[in-house]
Amino acid sequence: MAAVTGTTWTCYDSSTMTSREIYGRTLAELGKTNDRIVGLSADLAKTTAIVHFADAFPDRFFNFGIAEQNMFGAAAGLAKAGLIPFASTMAIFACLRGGEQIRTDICYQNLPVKIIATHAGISFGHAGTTHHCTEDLAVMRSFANMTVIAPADGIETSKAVRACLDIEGPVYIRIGRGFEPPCYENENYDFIPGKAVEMHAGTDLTIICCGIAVLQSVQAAKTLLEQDGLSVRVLNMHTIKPIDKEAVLKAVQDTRRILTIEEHNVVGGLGDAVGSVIAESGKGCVFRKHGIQDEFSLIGYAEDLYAHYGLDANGIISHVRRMMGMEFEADENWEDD
Amino acid sequence: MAATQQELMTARLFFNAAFPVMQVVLDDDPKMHKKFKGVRAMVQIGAKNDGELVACHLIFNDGKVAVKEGTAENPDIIMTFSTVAKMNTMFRGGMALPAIKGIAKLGLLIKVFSLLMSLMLMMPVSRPKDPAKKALKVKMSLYMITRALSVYNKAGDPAMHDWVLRQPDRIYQFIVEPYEETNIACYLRVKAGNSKSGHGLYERRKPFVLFDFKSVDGAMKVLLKDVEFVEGVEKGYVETIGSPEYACQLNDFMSILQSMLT
Repeated sequence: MAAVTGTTWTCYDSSTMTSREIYGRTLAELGKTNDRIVGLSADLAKTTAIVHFADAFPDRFFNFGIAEQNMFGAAAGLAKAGLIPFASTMAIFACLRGGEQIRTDICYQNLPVKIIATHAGISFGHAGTTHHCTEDLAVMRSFANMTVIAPADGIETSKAVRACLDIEGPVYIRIGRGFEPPCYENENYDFIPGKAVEMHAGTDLTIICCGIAVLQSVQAAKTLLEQDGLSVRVLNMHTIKPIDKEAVLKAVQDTRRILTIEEHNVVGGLGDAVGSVIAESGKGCVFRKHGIQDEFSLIGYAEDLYAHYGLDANGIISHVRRMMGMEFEADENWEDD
Repeated sequence: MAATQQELMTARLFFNAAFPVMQVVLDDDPKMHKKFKGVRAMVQIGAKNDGELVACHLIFNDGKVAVKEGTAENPDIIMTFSTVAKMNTMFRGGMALPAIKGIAKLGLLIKVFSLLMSLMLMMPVSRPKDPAKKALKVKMSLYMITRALSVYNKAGDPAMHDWVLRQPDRIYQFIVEPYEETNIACYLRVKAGNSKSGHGLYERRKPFVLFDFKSVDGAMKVLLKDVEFVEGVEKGYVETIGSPEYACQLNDFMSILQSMLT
């Protein structure tokens, strides 16, 4: 496993390597060996790439039209009948429009419905704020029984889709629009739901991130090492719930500076999940949450919005530099022993 | 003749980095511990320099010793060298004798001299065979060098201070394995110009660089420069975990200090 160092993706990659495409192809592949898998869409089969499954298994695919509540309610019923429904739509429609059905029909009964939510965060920037989704992590992690995963790229999406079959209850997998550059070079790493992946070693500060922020954080860590001599650990916290408490507490113990990065409102998302772990441990550290600062996001191309909100490598570098000047303990006794 | 800046820095390193290691001897050497039990006295050691006195004083209090830079009020014994260079020569194990006031307290003088001479265990020429002495030598040397690094920064060496100034809060940890048996560990903490040497394991965060000596014998070989540091790593005497660049830079400063003090 290794992270690439630059934005090396091409138009070819966008149709073959991105999270959305890989999700669709992986699901179609899984469908060959598991006939309990069924696909559900709310008139966004192409957009969410579940069309690959629909083409391969037309009898096991159901399009509900623009009716997400109906789709999630039906998904619960299909799951009760012994099937494993993969329901795909845009993140904003899943978490808010279909929120009640996901909570009451699916999570309350702890049913194995797998929700694959695309266009999360601000990845569909130019479609407008109505299509942005910076609330889904907060909503989904508050539902009991729900597992919440935000893969870093297409490779990790493939692993998450496969892994979610082994999770008994509902799973929410959050991916982007489909133009995200790859973070991993290959699949040679262990993806275990609930276990963070160390992408870059470090002892000065730890960045805990998920989704598109992982690649940007790795690039930032490499730049900070070269230019500032700073040793920054990057943890890919792909599973937001259940969160890897052990990795968080080890990072606190080892580095005493924690920066969370998420393409999400800083209220209720990864930052708050990490913050809760730290607060409950009683350990002191410098802690900052970086993401969308409790505002409705602007409209624009995703790359411009990432730069505006400091979610690109440059923004992350600035945050790290600022945090290095902050105190994490009152121990200012400099007398030699 | 006035001492050079280099000589004054060396004296300061002896006072503030080497002399405090006497406490290790008092704690770990049973004979020395017995010798200083119940001793309460003050001893001044210094050298003339351009009409002034470059000095420190040792305060003994029932097996404990505190080292303070500067002259003392009414010390029991005063040792004064004619020059700073001669004082440094004696501390390095060479021939130079001070003028002594308080010679009437001969018993105390002999004890203090024997304690001063015990510091020679840190010199490269000293190659003990006894395992306990070996461990003591390694412990004293590591305690002394981490303290010397901090003192070198605080004394304002431009290169050292610049190195410390541009670092965030970081720990350079030294440990001799197996720690449960050797109980030898010390560290240097640096942060934006500040520095502190400490004993034991720093437990509030992971070391930025860990110098992990695999045994007392391995540590001896590296500290005595029987092998170069890189060779010591290759032969498995020491493992460095963390930034290799900063480990090398610290090692360079350690070499500078060793050449000044030995």
